[in-house]
Amino acid sequence: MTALAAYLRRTLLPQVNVGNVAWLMHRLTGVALAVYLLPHFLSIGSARGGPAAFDSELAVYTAPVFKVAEFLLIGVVAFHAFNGLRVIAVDFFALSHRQKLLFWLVMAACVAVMAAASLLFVPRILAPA
Amino acid sequence: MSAPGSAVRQRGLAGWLLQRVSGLFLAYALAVHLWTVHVVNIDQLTWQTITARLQDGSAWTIYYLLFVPAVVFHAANGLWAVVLDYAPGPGLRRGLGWALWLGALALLVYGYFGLRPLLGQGA
Repeated sequence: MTALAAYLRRTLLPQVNVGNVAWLMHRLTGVALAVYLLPHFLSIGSARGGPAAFDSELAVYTAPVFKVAEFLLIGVVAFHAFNGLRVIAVDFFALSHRQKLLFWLVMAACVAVMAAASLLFVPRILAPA
Repeated sequence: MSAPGSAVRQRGLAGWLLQRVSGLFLAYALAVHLWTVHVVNIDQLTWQTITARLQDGSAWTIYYLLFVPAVVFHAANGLWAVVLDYAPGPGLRRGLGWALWLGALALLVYGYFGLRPLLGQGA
């Protein structure tokens, strides 16, 4: 293993277990969402240019590639939100001995959200308006 | 998972607690946001529908005046926790801290002025 790979392994996933994987997924989704805020704020900021500028900006995101991205984004938000609630539950209600069960509940909630979202998104991805 | 105690020692009780308080609010606020954007306003995300909703006399202004600062703070405070995890030296820590929190302040101001026209408060 190269030095970089060893460093990443040590700082990101020293051992493969439920707690570490949950921590890493929370960190990766968190950083991704923080980065996403910038383009999101910039597109909403087009409102300063008036209705025409705003509508032409938002029309860009009706393309199928952005529908796919939005669908994945919902999964990223769902995981970060549900796992964040898991962290809060573990911290405030002394539930660290239940953290693995809580992780699988988080994953089940994410699957449920994505299944519901797929009903809206899959038809729009396959047959764009 | 690291014990809360270590996170509290590292970045202070306020940073640790505010991340949980803002996160709890964001879990609610993002559920409302995603439901509104992807279900209620499906296929009609336009100036007309958005300004009509934001200016319908209900609490949307209050919602966004809480939502935007909460999301900017939560993102910046989360990234700050990532920085601290890599234990930067004092100079780098100070530089990254200023860059991160000034960037967050700029994003907050930009977000506020971006929302004002949609809330009907002039460009």
